[in-house]
Amino acid sequence: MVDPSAGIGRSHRGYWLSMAALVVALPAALAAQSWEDVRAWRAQHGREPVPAAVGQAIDYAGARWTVTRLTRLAGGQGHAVVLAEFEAATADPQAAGSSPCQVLLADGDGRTWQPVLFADPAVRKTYPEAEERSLCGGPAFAAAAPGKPALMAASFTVPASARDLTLSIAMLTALPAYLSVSEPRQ
Amino acid sequence: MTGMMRTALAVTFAAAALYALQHTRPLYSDITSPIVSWGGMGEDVEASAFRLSLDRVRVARTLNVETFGKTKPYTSSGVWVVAEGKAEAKFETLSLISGEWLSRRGVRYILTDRIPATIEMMPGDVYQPGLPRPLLLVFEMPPEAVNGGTVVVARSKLMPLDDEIRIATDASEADIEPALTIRRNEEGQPWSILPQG
Repeated sequence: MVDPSAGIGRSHRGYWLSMAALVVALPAALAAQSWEDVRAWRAQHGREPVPAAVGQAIDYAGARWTVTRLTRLAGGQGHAVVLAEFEAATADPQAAGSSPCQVLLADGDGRTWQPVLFADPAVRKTYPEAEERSLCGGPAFAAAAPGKPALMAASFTVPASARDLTLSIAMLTALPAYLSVSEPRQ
Repeated sequence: MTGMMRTALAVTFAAAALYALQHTRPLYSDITSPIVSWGGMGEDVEASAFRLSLDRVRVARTLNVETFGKTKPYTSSGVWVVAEGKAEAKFETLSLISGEWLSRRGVRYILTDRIPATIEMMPGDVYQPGLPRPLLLVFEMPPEAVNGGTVVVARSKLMPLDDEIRIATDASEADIEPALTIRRNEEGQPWSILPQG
């Protein structure tokens, strides 16, 4: 004699087992799908500062970097101009030059400024030699001999009230590590 | 029989639900459309990444562009709309690439590419956090598109769920001037807008 309630019990158990499997399988599928994207996003954002001071040489991205000047100049109409001069010496300038490089200036409020394309007249007047330098990247390294420093510069236009400025230099090949240099105290 | 009825009801309900879902689902373009902040003339309108204000909108039949001592007239079968204001990035350096004039009838006019880049205008300008910068937008359109048009500004047309600022203007077909001159300045405000004569 077969008990019909046994079959119903089995199908109910199967139903709830499937539901429980879904609860596990759906988040697992989502996590597997997005894991690569999350990893790529984390790898492309600077999250690990390599702190240095102005004038201090430090190893970063296979080169010896020194920020030689980080200075603020008076601009007009409520703005200031910040000039950063830096250099990097590497045995393989070609390899260093093939990596995209991003230079940013941030303040204590979390605002970030990109370098301006054309130097402010205040820079041209006070530090005319800065105009001879390239922005960070291929052209600067192409002009340097192996072991000799590639000379680079970036200037920024910021509000005169901006405080606690920090320069960051990030080479794509070295991310998430980036070089971080704070503005010297006046 | 009751079982069959229940199955038929369940199938009908499922079909109705699927039909309803299919016909009420938002389009992909709706889901990823920009997040709009609205405002009027003279107001500082805030989006999450930038703020914008429009001070004046002027309309003319002919536009004279004066740069480096030379003046060139630009005629149109319609009219020129010249909007002046200010824009400022809030947290990071950015460019505002997309500017449109949205007419009352829903027709969009993009920024003109006829005016030479020697006049500093949108697009092409870079906006820095904390440093408001004058903004100039120039459109060309039929006269009937002017009345009550809206200026729409965004970083790009291609960034889903990004900011968009819309400013309802007070422009009117009744205020069309015969000609306006945009003069490039070497210092201070990058341009001046002068009436005819």
